[in-house]
Amino acid sequence: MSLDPLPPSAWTRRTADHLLSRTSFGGTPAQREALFQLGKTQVIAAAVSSIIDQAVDWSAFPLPTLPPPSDLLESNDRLEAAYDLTEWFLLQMKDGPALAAKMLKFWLDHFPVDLDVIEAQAGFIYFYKHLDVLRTLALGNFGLLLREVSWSEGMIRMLDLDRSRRGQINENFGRELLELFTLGVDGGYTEQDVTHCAEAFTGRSLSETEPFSAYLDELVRGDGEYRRIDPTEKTFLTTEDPANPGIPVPGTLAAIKDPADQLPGDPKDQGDMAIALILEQVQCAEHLGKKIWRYFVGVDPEASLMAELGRQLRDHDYEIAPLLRTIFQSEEFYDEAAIGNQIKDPVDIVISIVKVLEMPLLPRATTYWAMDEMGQNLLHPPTIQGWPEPVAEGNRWMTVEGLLSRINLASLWVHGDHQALRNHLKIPTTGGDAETPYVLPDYETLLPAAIRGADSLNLLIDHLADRVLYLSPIHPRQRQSLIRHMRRKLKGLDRDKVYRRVLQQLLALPQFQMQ
Amino acid sequence: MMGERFFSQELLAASNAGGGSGPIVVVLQLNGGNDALNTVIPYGSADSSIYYGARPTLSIAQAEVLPLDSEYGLHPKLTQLKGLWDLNQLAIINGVGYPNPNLSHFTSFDYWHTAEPNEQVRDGWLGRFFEHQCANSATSLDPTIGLNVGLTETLAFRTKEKSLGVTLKDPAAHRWYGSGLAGEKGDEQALYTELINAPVGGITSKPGLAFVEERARNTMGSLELLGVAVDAQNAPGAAFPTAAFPDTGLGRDLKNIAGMIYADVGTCVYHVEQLGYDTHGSQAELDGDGKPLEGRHAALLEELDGALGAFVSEMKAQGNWDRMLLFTVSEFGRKVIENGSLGTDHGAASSLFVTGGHVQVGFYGQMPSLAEANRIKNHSLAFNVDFRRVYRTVLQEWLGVPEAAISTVLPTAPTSGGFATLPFIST
Repeated sequence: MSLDPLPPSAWTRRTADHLLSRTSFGGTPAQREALFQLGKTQVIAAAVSSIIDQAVDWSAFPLPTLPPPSDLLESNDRLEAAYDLTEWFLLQMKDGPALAAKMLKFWLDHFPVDLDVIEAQAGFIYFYKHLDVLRTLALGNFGLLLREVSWSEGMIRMLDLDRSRRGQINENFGRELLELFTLGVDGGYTEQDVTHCAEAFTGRSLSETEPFSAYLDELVRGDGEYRRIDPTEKTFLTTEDPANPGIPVPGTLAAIKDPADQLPGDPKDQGDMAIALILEQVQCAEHLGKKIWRYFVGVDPEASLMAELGRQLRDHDYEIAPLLRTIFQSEEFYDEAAIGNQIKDPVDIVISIVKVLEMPLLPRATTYWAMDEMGQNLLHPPTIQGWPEPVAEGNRWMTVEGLLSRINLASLWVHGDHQALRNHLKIPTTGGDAETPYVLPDYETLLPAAIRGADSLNLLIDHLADRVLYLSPIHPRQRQSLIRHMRRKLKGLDRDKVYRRVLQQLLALPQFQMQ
Repeated sequence: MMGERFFSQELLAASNAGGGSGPIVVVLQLNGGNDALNTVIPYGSADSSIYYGARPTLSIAQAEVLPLDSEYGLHPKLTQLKGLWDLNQLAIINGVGYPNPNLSHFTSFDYWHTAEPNEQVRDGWLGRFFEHQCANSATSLDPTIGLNVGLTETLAFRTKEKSLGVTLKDPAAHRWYGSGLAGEKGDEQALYTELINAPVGGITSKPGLAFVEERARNTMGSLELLGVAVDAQNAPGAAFPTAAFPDTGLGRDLKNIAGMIYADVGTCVYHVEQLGYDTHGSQAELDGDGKPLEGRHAALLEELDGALGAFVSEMKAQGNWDRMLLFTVSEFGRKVIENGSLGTDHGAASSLFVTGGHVQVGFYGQMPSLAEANRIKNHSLAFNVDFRRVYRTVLQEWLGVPEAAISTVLPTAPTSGGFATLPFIST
């Protein structure tokens, strides 16, 4: 495998569809055609740039004004706030800058926080602020993102950083920083590194009143020593020997000066030093490069490719956008084995439905409970490892229950509200979106007048199938079955009802679960 | 016919099969790393002073412990487990672990699921059991093979190719709602079933898509079977449930399992999990005077005890207690010492519970030494019972896997050598 660029002659409607599907949750026939033409009439790099260089501008989705936490104690209010947060996130997936949205989803999976764990304090406020950090740096610098995450109130609470202090460390954050966020399991660190890493991040605290921000607790004890910060020098990981380039020697986290001796600009904690040493490790770049590759391409990179991805990241000082540009221009990304072979996660499913059908999201309570049932409640990651990855374990999305809930959910978009399914999702009959109407697909948008006017089931089914199943086409025998069935149905039903039944089945097909 | 068709012919003979009389196993997974030292407490052992010294705020006072003998006792929330002990129906296996313990939740659970610690393998011990020791494994995703209660699949159920059995959270919710239009449901399901079965030999050579196609066929297949099972529980005159299951996550999950057993779906392996045992902080809370109060760990054990107690009552009422063997697993125990956040960090060896109609009461394995010199991996406990001995005992002594076939399920546990069975099952 290599990252050689895709030759211009290999750019087709299918490669354009694949690029749009993986980077932007798919699109309408017009969007697919526009992207294809861009790569054909100009260069492939122009098509890729149209996606990567879109401004990471979230101003259409401002942080909401949140009530102080004490106002969120009522369970109904908590539920309403959960609906709001989920809708806010999904609206950004749907209408925000597409690639940055896709990466925001990646980072929330990489740096997950669970509302149940952080809720006792200003949980929702922390959660919004955490997402704000992730979206701002969605295509930015990984080193900077690590630093910001180590100061994110949501993460501080999630991994007990606010409860870790000198002499009485809590290793939760230190361990997961090394194991999950940077180096990977068996990524060349020791149990002592875990301990020293935890010690390096001591001192972070959370204010329990407005503005509920994280701060470094620099208080000193009677003897002039820090109360919470562990300022002592410690060994940590390895670094390159300046005298013998290429030879690793133990890394050092330099002692923090006594408060009395500090000059302006002196470092106040060792977290930044620890992050700098982590970023020096080849394992860090390779672990991240591999995970990004799996996320977008859907297969495991071979060792040589993983090394190349890591090199790209280090060469660009851990900037994410250049790596993504290389991936999306590479021949390997467009390998036919990768196209249409990745199982969508529930966010992908929801956003790809609204994109291909050009529809709004379902009402907010319905959306929240449907996401929960499909196994991707955005407020409650299953573990600190996040949700299942798209490769191998990604199959874990596809339980019989998970697939059935996707089938049932797609029907809601096509047929609108129905009480049995709402009862099943346990959507309260008052409040929530009990009064919100469900919008139905607009068949005047989805089907040209010529097809609506023609008496051809073949044309109708082909047209809808191309819109919905453009990467994994309908099989001729499936098409025959649909035609046969609908021909029977047509006798007793008006046109609109036939459209609905066809669309319901297309969205339920295994092909639509793929991207 | 939903009886014992998951058993191989030899096992059918060995298990004295009749309608719903074969052995059942429930694997109850405590996710996050249960603090075994505050679950089975060495309140009066030779190491008790080390225990109380290492845990000045988190230790359970001697007066609070539910004593099992003069040395060890249970956490005060485990009243029903204590009751099972008193009825001679609870086994406690101490010092359980594996060589070179990994302190990552995910890697360690992978090892427990694959039963091949320190190896990179992609199949699970129960997946291998289904594949090699159960008839009918060719139909793969069949709920009569194994049922995992959860939102995502477990590595334990995987073979090298795929995950066997069925994973779902709530059998009663497993229904086709579709359009919701009156009289249409049957047509919709029939058409969908036709569409996913239409192509002979698969629509495509893409493995991801082929996987989903197979899963779609199984989804439709399981609809009917689970529908029948749920209807049996809800039928007029049905005697289910007789026990009062608590309205907790584990309570609901164990009730669902009990319902499947009541309806005789024929599954012999159930897998279920309770979340939340990663108690780095707030394992206990402090009152205004700095006195420890109950915290997260007590709440977790209370949920465990309540759900398990109801499940046992239900099994006894159903007449299925003699078929039942339930055991707990957790990816690791926690460190001997408490941390500065009223919590404990990741450790190594742990204690497991086993209960069922044929369980032999008592302690198995040794409680590891708490002495600082004997700790490993930064204040963690060393193991003395490899967890594969527990698996092997369950497979061989309970599920009737012949000794000669054990290596098909536990390839790294030879029948001769270090992984001897433990005598916690009475004959």
